[in-house]
Amino acid sequence: MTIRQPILTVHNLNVALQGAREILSDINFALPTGSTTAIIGESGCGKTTLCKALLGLLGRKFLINGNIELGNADGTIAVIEPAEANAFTAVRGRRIGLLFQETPLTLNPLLRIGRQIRDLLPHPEQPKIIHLLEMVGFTDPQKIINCWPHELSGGQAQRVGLALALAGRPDILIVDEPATALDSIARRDFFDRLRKIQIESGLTILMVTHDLHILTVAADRLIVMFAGQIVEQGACQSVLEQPAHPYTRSLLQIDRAFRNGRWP
Amino acid sequence: MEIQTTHTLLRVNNLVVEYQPRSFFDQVKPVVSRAVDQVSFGVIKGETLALVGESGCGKTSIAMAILGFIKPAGGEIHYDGVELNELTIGKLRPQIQPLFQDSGSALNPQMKIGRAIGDGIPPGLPAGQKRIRVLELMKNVGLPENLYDAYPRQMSGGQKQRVCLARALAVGAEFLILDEPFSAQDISIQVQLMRLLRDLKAALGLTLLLISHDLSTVRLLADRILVMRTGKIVESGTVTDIISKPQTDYACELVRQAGIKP
Repeated sequence: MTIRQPILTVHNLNVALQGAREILSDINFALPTGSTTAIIGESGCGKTTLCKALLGLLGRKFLINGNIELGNADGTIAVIEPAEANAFTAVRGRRIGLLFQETPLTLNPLLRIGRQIRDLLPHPEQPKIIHLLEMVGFTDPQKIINCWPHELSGGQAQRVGLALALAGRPDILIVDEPATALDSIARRDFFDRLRKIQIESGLTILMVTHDLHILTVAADRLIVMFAGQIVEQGACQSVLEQPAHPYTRSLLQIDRAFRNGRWP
Repeated sequence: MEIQTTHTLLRVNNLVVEYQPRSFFDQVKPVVSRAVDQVSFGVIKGETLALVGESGCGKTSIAMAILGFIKPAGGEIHYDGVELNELTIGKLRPQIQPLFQDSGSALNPQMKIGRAIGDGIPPGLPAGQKRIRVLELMKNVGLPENLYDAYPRQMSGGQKQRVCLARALAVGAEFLILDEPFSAQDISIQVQLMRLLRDLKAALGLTLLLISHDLSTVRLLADRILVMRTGKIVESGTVTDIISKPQTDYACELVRQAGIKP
């Protein structure tokens, strides 16, 4: 793979709860344009906090230091200071899209799906809604447009969530455990779909996951987090083949044992 | 694993579970969806039987029917020779206990852990004895003593899962229905909980019905596997049979997606 210009670079990001311990310390990484970067790490290591920090969703309880550089289409770079209020209003949902685990909770139960997508489009036209739904893998978009959120299965809801995230035509998509609630077949389907969309549209993806055997097919780069720090990052294949940190090693050991039908 | 007795603890015959339309508008043209369609199987005392299949295939509906949370539209369920119905369920429920994916929502947020477990202990024990019994149960599931006075919000997901397990044991569970008990946890916590279940089962002679879509964990715990799809059992057999020689296309796909080797 050729080295591409990073679209998003994070410099020395620190996040702390006011008057309490640090949650993220000294986070540095870059997302190459058009690639998928996966973040793995155990619960409470700060994966979700990092995603929220990149979207400006943390709220005033948190002390945030550091800066984020976002590459524009014309080659210039916009610097975001997460500590500033309203720093993200111009980018969230527009430049950076988001999809979290529990899409059903983010859908308005009182509006049909078509209406909810329409509300997010800058120029709402029926063909655009249909195109979005086809893009995320619905073969009968007209039916989904008329559906109420409660009529969708978990996998369908997650794909609607993806359509909503893509409605603002973002350059970067942040997905936090998008398929944890899905079964193994629906999960594989979801990641294949995401990959296809990325190839078609050149989207840059940052995803949090704890599904190790999806990594090799779904991610180009890998970031391993432990206790609020990045302990390892690099090309997905090389990190998985030669893990340097003890945490990564133990994780891979458990995964290998599971696949071979042994107790770890 | 060798099973000494072949006593069938739970027998499910031609079970049918149907869901009625929920909304007012649906009632104009009622569509009844059949979640479980004529399913029959038995669980032998002391074994771990796994139900696997994709979301919406009816795994959880079977669990709900056994627990008496929903009324089957047809068929019958026998536990230890007694048919489960409104009259007998109250007496048998202490022995049949569930453990769900989201234990946090099964615990009263205002009740301390010691009391949550203690309330499950059958009446008749003096107060001092009760505390000792709760601490013993907590030790059995690997919870430190100092959590006796903790609230659920102060605990991790894995710890809450252990509390629910201790509570099930307090009531006197013999048959545990585990519905995706690990899928919300980190892989290292999953391993801890799996080991705990394996050890508890061996120590107390429990019978387990494990519902999961993750074949890689199922194969380590289960003796037999039932593969379900769209409300029917499409394949059944021992763990080795299903994993090394899956018969149906669907089972092949499940094994392939799990990325496991025979």
